[in-house]
Amino acid sequence: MSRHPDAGPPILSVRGVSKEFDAHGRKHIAALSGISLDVWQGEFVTIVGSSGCGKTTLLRMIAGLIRPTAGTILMDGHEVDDPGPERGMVFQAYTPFHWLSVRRNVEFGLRLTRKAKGLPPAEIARRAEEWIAIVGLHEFADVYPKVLSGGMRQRVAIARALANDPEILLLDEPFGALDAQTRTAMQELLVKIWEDTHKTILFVTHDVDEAILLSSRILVMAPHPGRIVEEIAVSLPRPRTIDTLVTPEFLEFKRKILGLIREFSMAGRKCGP
Amino acid sequence: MKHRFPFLRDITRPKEPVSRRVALLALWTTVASFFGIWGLLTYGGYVGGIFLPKPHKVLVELFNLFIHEGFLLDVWISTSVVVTGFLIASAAAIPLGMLMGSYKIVFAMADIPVNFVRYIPVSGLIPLLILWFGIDYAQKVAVIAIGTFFLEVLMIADTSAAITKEIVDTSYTLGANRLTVLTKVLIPAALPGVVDNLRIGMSGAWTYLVIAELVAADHGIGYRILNAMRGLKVAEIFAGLLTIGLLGVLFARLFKLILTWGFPWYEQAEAR
Ligand SMILES: Nc1ncnc2c1ncn2[C@@H]1O[C@H](COP(=O)(O)OP(=O)(O)O)[C@@H](O)[C@H]1O
Ligand SMILES: [Mg+2]
Repeated sequence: MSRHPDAGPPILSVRGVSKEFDAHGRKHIAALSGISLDVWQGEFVTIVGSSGCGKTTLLRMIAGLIRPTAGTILMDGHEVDDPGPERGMVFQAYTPFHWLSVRRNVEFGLRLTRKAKGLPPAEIARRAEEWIAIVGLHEFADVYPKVLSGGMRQRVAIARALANDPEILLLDEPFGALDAQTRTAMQELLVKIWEDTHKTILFVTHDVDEAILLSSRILVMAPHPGRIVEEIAVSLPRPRTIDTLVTPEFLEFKRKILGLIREFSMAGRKCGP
Repeated sequence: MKHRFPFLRDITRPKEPVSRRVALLALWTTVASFFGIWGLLTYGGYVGGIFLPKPHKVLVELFNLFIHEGFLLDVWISTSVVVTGFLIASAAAIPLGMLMGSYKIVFAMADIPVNFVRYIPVSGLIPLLILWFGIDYAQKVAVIAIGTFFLEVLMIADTSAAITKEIVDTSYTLGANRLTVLTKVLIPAALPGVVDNLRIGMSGAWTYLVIAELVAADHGIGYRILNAMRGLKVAEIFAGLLTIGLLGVLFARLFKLILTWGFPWYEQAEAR
């Protein structure tokens, strides 16, 4: 369904993926049905949809943490079967390893894959240092996560994922638990990282403003069963700031997406719980 | 608004921390009230000496036990039985508990059987343990080990199970495999909680001591208490109980030290 200006093959390709869950002996719940999407190198793609429409399930399948009931997921043309370091993920829940300092957290993946990648210890330290500086945690490099605020914990999670140099970064509502000011700061940080590194990012959120501000392309999901109902290229110029939020173009995108979400959540009621 | 008793206002606020000095004062209030009530009941003549000894008699008895009756040997023997039983129990409970909390298949295998055995009173097992281990040291260690093991294993399983799936899943997406997720994530994350579970296990081990020394003991704190009971030497009973209590406080401190020094990253370390 995706058309993309540069003609090369997508790095991530989801083909006709469905997922059913067993609900305590009751009949199967169709969480996702017939999902297809492509993500190209360097894109910032956001999946937006209301709570419970299957965004987390989709991201976990792409990460290889759970398996689809039907369909295939291809990463660089290879079928995804297990989780792997080329698909880094950040969750909404805080996940710093609390027994490790910030520095050791950021080094975690590099130390695990050191042998395979042939990384010398000095290079691991250098990369960790670099990412700690990028996310602005330089002063906190040697503290334990217990003293960090929620926003700082998510900075650790992002730095840890990116230090591992994944081909794609999967973000599941990473700022969902943060207060408004912190969330804005984190959004700006993420966009800056994306602009500087051109990492491929697949971002999930239920926040329509966030989706429009961050992404180059938005996939709108509808629930019961979870499916993609629309694809929108966000043509707004960058940098996008607070002021972007009140431009007519922004509001036009917002009106369209909210309209889609509302339309399909009404329609979904008939068959949903 | 100005409060008439700012101190009272502060200490009656739920979850509000208190200073070290106030905490110490609170402790001494408890101890003083305990001895105060005890003294009032006994010196005031409200309760007869054969039911409740006068406080100073217990202290004299304690002194007497240690100086003239070789009580230190009893303390040593009991402590070694308790610690041996505790170590055997923990050596089994830590791996099994961690496996139960981490792998659903082990949980499915062990949960109901463990609960089944846990509800059997340890005292009910004593005839069997005598048959298997005789009536000496081994039998006493077995009583404590079995009791403590079943106390610890489900707590440790809970501690391991409390490590969130997101933490585990994050480590997979960073390149961890089945083995490294265990060694680099599940075990280090659970360790301080397990130490805290062992603290409770140790307190359990001491409660099994008297049961263990019920049978054919000729030494030990529990034996002394039981013996004193036969002779209605109530001051000696209290001296024995007091000793166990003090040892308990000592071991609790030890575990707390291990937690604060060994796991500076542990979030709950200060709260306990
Ligand atoms: N492990 C599971 N077992 C059963 N049902 C699940 C499970 N995970 C998710 N679901 C169901 O799948 C649907 C989609 O959930 P989720 O992917 O978490 O949605 P979202 O992230 O968009 O809020 C929900 O109805 C949820 O109840
Ligand atoms: Mg979700």
